[in-house]
Amino acid sequence: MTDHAETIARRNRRRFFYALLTFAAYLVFAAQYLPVMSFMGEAIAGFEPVTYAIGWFCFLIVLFVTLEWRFIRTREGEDEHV
Amino acid sequence: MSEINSTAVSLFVSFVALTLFLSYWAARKTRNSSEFYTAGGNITGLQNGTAIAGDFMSAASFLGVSGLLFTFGYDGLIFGLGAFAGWPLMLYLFAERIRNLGRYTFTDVVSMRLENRTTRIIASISTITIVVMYLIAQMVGAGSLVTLLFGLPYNLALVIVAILVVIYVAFGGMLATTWVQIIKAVLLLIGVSIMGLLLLNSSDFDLPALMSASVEAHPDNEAILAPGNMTRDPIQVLTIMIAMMFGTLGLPHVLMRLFTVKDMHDARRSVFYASGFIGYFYLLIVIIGFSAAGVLYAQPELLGPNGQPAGGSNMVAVVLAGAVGGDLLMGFVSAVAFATILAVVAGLTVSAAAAVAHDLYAQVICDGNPDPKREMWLTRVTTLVVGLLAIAFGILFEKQNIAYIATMPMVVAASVNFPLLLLSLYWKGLTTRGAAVGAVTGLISAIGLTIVGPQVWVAVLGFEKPLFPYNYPALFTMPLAFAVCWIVSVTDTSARSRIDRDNFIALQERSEFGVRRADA
Repeated sequence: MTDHAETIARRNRRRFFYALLTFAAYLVFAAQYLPVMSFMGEAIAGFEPVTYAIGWFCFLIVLFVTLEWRFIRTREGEDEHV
Repeated sequence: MSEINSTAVSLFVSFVALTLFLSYWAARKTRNSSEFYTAGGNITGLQNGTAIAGDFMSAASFLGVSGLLFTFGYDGLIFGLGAFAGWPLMLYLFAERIRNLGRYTFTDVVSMRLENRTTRIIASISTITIVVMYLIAQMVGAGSLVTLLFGLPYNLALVIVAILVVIYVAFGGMLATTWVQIIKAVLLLIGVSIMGLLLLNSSDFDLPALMSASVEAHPDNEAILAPGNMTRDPIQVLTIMIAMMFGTLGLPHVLMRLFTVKDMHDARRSVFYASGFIGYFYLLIVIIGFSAAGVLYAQPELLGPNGQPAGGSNMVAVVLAGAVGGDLLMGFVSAVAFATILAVVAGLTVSAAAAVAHDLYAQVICDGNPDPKREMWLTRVTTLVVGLLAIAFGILFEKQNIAYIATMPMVVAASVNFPLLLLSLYWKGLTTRGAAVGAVTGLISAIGLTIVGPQVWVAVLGFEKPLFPYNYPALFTMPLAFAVCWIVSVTDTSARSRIDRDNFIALQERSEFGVRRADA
């Protein structure tokens, strides 16, 4: 493998890792609608229903933005060494 | 609501005056195709991120999602989260690679390694289909909104929107469009921030107390805090979420914005800033939408006999602004809602002009060697035609249920543009034949299944039962498009298929390292 090919392969692995992580978190939200997953609401019964409703949404927004920030920092770190 | 809100009118007139001045300024800087389509690539990351947010946070996001949260509670989050979740994927998979390929439209990227003529024609048809569907939804929404807020006749509202957009785009191109979108994004974020703060202040910044008031006031009580109030079908939820997430990755007017910055560093930053603004916006929309029940049900005079404000659930945010901030805030929010439509239609118009003048005329008809003056002339003519079409479509579809029209662009984008882009950037095996057959399959299945689904077959055409049970069929049409692209490509042994595969390495190097390093 050439240096370029190795760099591209490494970056692509990272890209798809972050993309799949995001998609998986997104699917967890959808999973609440599966009848077999109804325990999710009960499992978090320690929370107030209000916290459950808003908390899910806020958690995912913050998670996604944090992942984006980490991705950008990693890529910019690489660019500085080019 | 039929009375004219003088605050709304004066704020909107100020917005129009400012944006027309910007168009005059931008027109002096827009002399060639590059400046028209991409503002010469001179937009900064922060400016572009704000403009992307302004382009994406449409009236459907602002008025529609807050109305869904008010009506159904928790299930409205599906649309809010769906609209946001595409952006991280845009950053990881597309932003820097698309920017490094350094052209004007997503069609340029797809056709770079595949046979130019076939790919461009198909991708342009897809772009124009998406733009027209989006345009219809925006124009009908604009007409209804302006009639309700400003007391103007429906047709006059359409003419005002079309004239303003034609002036912005025909004279100022992408530079004027960018600044219209930036100003609108800032105004929209200010508006929702004030609403959020006033709502939180009304409960001494105790969010659970604010929500509890909504739970008590809403006819469905605690059910609004849990999944299942709008739909309990997990397949329906999943197919909406797939359409929203992957549709975002295929919207041509949004992808086009990635070419307006100077390099991949700014492209990454653009998407990150856009994500931040869009995420912040939706957090506030969730607070506004959930809290609306507590405020509006406590003042029954604001609601009609059906439990919705005049103009339906889409007017929840506007009526709520009046309830918590008086005429001034209601006028501000109304003006921002109208400005929102102008900004989105301007972005769509630039995209349509690029598809016709650049993709079809310059690259297909002139084989990449157009007369620059003629191309610029054609962009302006296309802009004018889009403006006239927007008025015509707005009148034609006035009485139609526009909900299905608004859903279709996301499904088509997820089923045609997204597979084409992803496979052309990441899969060596994609061939022109595979891309063409896959894209046509995605386009026909997306439109066909939407027509035979509940929103058109039952709600519009009046049949008793739909032939296909789900709205937003992207869960089925997107994998179908991928599968067809794959099957046709791997069985393609034509001479052209070898060229397509051989071109992949050069495209990958260029998309990863830019023109200079790839050519070195």
